[in-house]
Amino acid sequence: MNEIAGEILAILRRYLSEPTSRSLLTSAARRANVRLEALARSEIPQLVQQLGPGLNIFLQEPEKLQNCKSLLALVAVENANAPSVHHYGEPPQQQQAESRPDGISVPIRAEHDVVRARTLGKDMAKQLGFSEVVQTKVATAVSELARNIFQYAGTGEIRIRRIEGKKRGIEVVARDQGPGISDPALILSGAYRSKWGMGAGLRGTKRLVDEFELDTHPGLGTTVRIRKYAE
Amino acid sequence: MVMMMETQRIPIVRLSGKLIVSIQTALSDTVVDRLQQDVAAACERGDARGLVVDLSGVDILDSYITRSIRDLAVMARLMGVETVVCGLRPAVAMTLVEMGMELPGVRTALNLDRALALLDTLQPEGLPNDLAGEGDEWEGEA
Repeated sequence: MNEIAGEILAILRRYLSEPTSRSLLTSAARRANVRLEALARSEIPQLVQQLGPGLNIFLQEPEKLQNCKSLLALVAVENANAPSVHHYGEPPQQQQAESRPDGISVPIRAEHDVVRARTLGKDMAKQLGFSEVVQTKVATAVSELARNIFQYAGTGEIRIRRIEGKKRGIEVVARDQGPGISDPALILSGAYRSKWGMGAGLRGTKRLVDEFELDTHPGLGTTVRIRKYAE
Repeated sequence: MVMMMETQRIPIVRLSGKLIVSIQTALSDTVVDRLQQDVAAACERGDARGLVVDLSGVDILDSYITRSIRDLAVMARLMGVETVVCGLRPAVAMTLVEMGMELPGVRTALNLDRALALLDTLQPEGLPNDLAGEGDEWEGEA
């Protein structure tokens, strides 16, 4: 099993035992007609596709199943157009912070989606090799943002993606078309003395991340964009 | 599927006069609200002297859940059941501090073992003394 196959195995291992992960991966590789010892990035999408049925059987919890598939899908999308052979001596590619337009989107419609979003945030931070503390901070921030959507706007969306470039990190965008926040500066300043209400959630989120942008229009909705970089 | 997740319940274990709640699952708001009700009902039965909430299986505590845990502890204390929260993971504790959320008015312990030991030290001067005092007064009145 080469390094690329190892990455896929690492994702499976987060949700399944070692033997189960390995046997799922081996049988998927057989069906996808790829060799794990020499797996190329361009072969990841077909391998991931073949993993689906096995995951449906072995991952009983719907939340975990969805998250595992989302992570695998992300890896597949990111590698869909990768060259199968790595050319040495090539100049390093220009990397931009915006290099990943995709990412994972979690619609927030029910309370259960809050749990799903934060679990996914944590899984993704872990996948990126963030420390346990940073993983927890990212997941907690996602939880606050998702809950705000559910509580105040009813529905919305959380989008999580990785940032690559000089600083590796994770970006989360929470968007809703809810009532908006009438005085965001007041809420973020802490002068709005609701120790545990929405103010606390947003202020707490701001303190957990490296970059925090709040864009809100009363009656139109709110978008919060946060970024956390690997320490 | 969603219905299944939402009816999930966290078991409350009774052990020699103590209630032990060990949370080993991702906490949704509904699960926490249900737990509050269940703990209140368990306290009301009257045979519990202490409550331990073990959070060692919880990897994320956001502001709402933290508040719910605090409310649960305060509520139990108001009903005469001393509460100790234990097993907070280091990453979770660091995150709470960074967010500016502590657990005011809640006793905490490193792990379940120490939480139970702490409850034992609380009991002699806690509930029994109060009850003894009450008994004396009643005798005096009679």
